[in-house]
Amino acid sequence: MGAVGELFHPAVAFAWGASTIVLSMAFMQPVLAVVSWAGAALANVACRGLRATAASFAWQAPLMALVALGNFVFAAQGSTELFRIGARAFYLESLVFGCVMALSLSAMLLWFSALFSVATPDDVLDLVGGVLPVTGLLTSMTCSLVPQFTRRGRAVRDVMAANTAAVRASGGAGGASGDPCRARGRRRPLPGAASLRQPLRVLTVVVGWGLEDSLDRAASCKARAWGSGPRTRYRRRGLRRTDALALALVGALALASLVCGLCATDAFAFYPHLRGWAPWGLYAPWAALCLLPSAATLALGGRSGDDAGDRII
Amino acid sequence: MTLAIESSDLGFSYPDGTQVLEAVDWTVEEGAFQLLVGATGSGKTTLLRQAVPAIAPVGERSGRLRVFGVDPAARPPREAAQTAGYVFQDPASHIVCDTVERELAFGLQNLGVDPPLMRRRLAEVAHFFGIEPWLHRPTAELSGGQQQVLALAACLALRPRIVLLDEPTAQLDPVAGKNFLHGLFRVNRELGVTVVVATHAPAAMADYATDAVALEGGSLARVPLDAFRPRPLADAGGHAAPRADVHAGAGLAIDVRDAWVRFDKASPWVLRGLDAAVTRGSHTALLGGNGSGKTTLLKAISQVMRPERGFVKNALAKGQAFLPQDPRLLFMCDSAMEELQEWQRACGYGDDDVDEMLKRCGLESRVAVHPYDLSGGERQKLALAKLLLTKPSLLLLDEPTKGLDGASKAEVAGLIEEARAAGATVVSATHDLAFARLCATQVALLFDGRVAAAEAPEAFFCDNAFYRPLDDAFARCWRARQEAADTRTRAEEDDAPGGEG
Repeated sequence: MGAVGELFHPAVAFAWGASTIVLSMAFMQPVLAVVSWAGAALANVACRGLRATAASFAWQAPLMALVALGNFVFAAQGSTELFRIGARAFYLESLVFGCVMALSLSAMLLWFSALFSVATPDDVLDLVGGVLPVTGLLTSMTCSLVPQFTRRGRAVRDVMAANTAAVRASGGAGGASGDPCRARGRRRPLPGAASLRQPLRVLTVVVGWGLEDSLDRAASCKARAWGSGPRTRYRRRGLRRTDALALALVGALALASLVCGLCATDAFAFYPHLRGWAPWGLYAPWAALCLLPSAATLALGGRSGDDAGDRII
Repeated sequence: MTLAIESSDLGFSYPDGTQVLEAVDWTVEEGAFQLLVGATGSGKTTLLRQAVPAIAPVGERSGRLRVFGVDPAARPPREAAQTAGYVFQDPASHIVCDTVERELAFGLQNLGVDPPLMRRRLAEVAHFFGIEPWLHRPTAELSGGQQQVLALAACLALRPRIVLLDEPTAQLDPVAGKNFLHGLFRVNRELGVTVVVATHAPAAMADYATDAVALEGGSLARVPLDAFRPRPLADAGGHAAPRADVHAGAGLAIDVRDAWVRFDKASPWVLRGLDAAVTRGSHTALLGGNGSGKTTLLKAISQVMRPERGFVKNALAKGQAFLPQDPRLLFMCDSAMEELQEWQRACGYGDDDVDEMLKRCGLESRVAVHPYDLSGGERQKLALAKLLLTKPSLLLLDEPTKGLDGASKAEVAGLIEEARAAGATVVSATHDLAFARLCATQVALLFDGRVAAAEAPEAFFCDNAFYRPLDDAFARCWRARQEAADTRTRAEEDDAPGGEG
């Protein structure tokens, strides 16, 4: 939701994200699936930008093709034969069903990407911190520790790779040489002889270091009165009237989408031939839920500029 | 005169019987900025933590201790946290929350402060320290200096009457250290908070302090601040590493041409067409500000990172040893002895070599200790010892003297010099100007991704406005070491057949 999302309480973004994700998985109907996918794609462009969205498509496309063609090849159902290979017939209805499955899967993945591109760990804490304070603190600590551990793992690996004098006698210094390093990539692989043990050794160092740090972190908590009594909750923002109205609107659209979407899905059948197209009005709530927030975001200038480091994913 | 801290006959021993403090009489006036000086392992941390019962070490305490007139152990936890705050040495391992804002609020939440008041306290402390521009940033993305400022701000959000800091600038570069000290000075003078700083490098802090005490042999004594005021390192006061053994025709060990290096495609260039040459047998010290590319150049030389343009030719790549900024990156074993034996089979050195190295590093009594339980200086020496046992032909050292006291720095510098005398080539990235001045044979200043100057130390340091080494504890220890070595050499010459004796 980008710039528009920051105007609203995190509950609004999570409500919107949760409803689109859940309903996307529930609606196995071609029009609903297309609307969901289009809305998710638009949300990604609005929240993550065109380049990041294109990068998502790059890895999702083969997956979608696999799902669509898998059903087409293995589910020999339907009445409209497209072609035949030997005794085996391939039907249009199977292809359409496969395509709808692929679109639903891709839409779900795109909705997740969009939601977690605008939601920060702070937003999670704002939502659960009051109900589950210890869980909230654990989440906050995990979010800070994961990148730290990742960096340390890389640093340990680099130090192991750099200490070639330690492995030269065993003949394992495969990567070190006196030749000039031309532009071949950014990092060279670890010495070959020790490469099988390396990941375990890196993990040992990182975990041991982390456990040591846990003692320091516990001291830091205790020095600031952790465990001294009931804690109050720090909230960056409260739920204002505008947020409540937005939440109500999302809720209403989600409910209407659920009702209309289930009607449209129940009425539709893929086999033996495609039938049961619902009146266009039944698709309207779902289209509004999927498309309106992203369109508003784009109209307001797209994602905010200083959010690069603040997102969960 | 109100006393913030008052102790008499204060003693402390650890459960293993080690007596760290003996009959310590310690006073800190309210509003003072006191330096608690002592060598690494002298007991400064142990003494400081006695004033904060929540983090006091386990052991047997004797004597009397009062913080603002009350035994700190008798205070309820919330009152204690609002009386005495503590700032640790390594902020990265003590930060709890994922964002700056939440870290500032953490202590206030623990105290049960009402949300509206919490927000006001946050606003005050963030404004005082200039944190507002990075209030919403992840703590993992902060620099070391920012993390330490955050730690101080988070502590002050609880409004303690006294703040105790344990080597707060040991892990910071000189510029970040100065900025932090200036903030601390404002806390003391503008807010009236009593400050006690434990440090083994008081020269940088002497101008901010009101008094100083020294901890040695378990006892505390007052020392004049003038003893720590920094003086420039005069040429006549010390001599640089001998360059006679670096022959002009020794050949190049490392040749870097037009190197362009960055961390990934989304990152800016760190090295921008850098040229550098290192002669075999020399010691090149890389100087420069934070982010100038010193560590990146070391990694490029070690071939862990590769340039996207240009080349790095390292003739000694097969026999190199890399000492990282944090020696914990090298430790894989459960004791100091096991660390030194880890590469024994691969490199072919014997138990005698290990014992000799332990003796040279002064770690004989610490062989069974886990590396993480060693002091900062001991860890650095252990890491260097581990590398030196492999008899490397190239030593790449990233901040080898960081966080060490003067005597430990001199020991580390001595080990490096011995390795160079034995034929190793050394390249060190450092902020320690005295170390560069006294130990290097060449100094290279990195700026804007390139080498701005590369000269012998005498030429480099003779006409600088800012890069001027101080006559600090390391310089004095190094001079004493050199004089002792010269005396030994003269005595050996006198005793030799045909000598004057």
